[in-house]
Amino acid sequence: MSWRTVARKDIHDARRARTLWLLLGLLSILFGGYAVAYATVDDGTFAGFVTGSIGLVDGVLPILGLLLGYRSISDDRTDGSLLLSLSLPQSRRELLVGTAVGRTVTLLGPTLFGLSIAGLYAALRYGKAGAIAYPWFLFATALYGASFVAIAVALSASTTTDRRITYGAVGGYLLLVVLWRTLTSIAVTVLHRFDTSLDLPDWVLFLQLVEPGEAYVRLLSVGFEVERANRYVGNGTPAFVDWWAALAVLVAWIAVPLLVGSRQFERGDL
Amino acid sequence: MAAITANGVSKRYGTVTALDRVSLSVEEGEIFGFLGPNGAGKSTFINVLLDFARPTDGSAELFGRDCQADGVSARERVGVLPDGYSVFDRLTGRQHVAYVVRSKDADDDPAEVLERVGISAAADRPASDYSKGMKQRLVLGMALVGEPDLLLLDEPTTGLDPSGAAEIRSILREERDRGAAVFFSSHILEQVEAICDRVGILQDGELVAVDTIDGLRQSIGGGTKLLIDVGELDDATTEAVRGVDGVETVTVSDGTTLEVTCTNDAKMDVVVELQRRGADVMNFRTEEASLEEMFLAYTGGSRA
Repeated sequence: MSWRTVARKDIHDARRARTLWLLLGLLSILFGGYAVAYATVDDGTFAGFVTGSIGLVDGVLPILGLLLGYRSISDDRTDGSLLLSLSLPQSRRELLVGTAVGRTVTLLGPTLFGLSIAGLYAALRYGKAGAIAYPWFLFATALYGASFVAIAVALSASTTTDRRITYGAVGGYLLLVVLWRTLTSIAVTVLHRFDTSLDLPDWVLFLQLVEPGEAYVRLLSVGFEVERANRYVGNGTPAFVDWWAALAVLVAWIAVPLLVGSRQFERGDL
Repeated sequence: MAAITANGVSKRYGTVTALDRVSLSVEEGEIFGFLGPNGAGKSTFINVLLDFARPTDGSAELFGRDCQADGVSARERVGVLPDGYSVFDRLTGRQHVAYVVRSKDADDDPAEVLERVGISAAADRPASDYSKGMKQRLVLGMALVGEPDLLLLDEPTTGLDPSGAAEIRSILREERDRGAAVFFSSHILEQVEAICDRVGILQDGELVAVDTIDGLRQSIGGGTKLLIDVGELDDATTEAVRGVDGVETVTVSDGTTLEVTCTNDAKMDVVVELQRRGADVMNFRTEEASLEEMFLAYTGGSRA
């Protein structure tokens, strides 16, 4: 299990680089602070607190995940420390997986810690109604964060060109977080020859669900009331936008980038 | 079983040939010096063994396992000091060694390893603060973890002072005596001459010689160099000596000392020729050719 060795080394490194502590402080303040401040801004129910927290997670996790991962392997490759790792009996694929796991732990450790503290505080202060589903929120958040780390680490393994990595990270963020809905809308409009009176076909719903953020909220709508996910729920919505499809989408956002990245990584000389 | 087997390994980058059909075999229990000027392809060859680079042609094996198809298990019994590495910036020396111990599933004590390579005082400092020599010692220590059956070291003494280099050599001897094969590259002849059982000389990607040090001496001019002090010396005499069968080079130092490299058989002919020319031979010594001279002979004097 060499990926474990690599992951462990990567976490050691993050600890010493203070990345881990910085994230821990930042995210604890963010989530904990929100839990405290929530009393003054809204109706003061646990469900409302969760809805707000989902918004926070959706706002910070993609960018943090990308930042943590997008230079991970390329930096080691450029400076030569990658050669020490690959002199050992471990494959490039194991190195890729280990790095992705290490960075995921670095991101999710502080995230889940902060959310747990905040959730505990909120349950005590705003009532326990709905708190039973809170672990599901943590689980979905873990998957969501892991998908962005996997995308970024895979990107860092696939090229050593600085420019490509930067463009890839920025482009990835814009595509996956900012522009996906707009692009699917444009695609449908073009396919409908700009006739806006036509109803949206069902498959567009799935195309929208492929966006990590949408899959995340769809998954959450199993345990919570999430407005953004309403169009995937209720009568008449096709089965392929059910919660398990959202789960599959997030798992695919982890597995597919890692597979593609490792094929790129294994090709050619270091 | 051979520790290293290379069968016609070639590596081309576009039109540049970095390695040209290199074949060699290194056995367990020997120290093999891989010698050549900078840019001859030494590191490329080692990178092929480590699967950092893929050969364009040919194949290489470590302990019978293909370096490319079966790279992970090929590296299992190998300790490596690669070319162009950098340490992990934020990890301490101890953490570096612990990483290798875990990866190789070994049971070495990192403190003992660092002690052996002489940097235990710096064990808990970040390795990025180490000097070049200390980094070399650290990575050598990492290579020693798990009693590997082969040490693959690319220029291991770079950055070390002479006494540090001597320490490293004595560690390599200990490893050899334990039964490990040691394969190291160097462009510094003294390093190789001092400890190697066999030497391979690489020149422009081609392996131009593989032999023991003695064997190489034998094959170059019988390994003999004559130093002859004469009372008086003129150009005609020097030319005449140069014309003797079996003589390869003739140089004059201090005006009256002839340095002649030649085959063993030609020694007497040289002296006879001098006598015939009426030169007064005052003193006569022979020296074994140093590896440096052999190296120059093989590489056409283009030592980098």
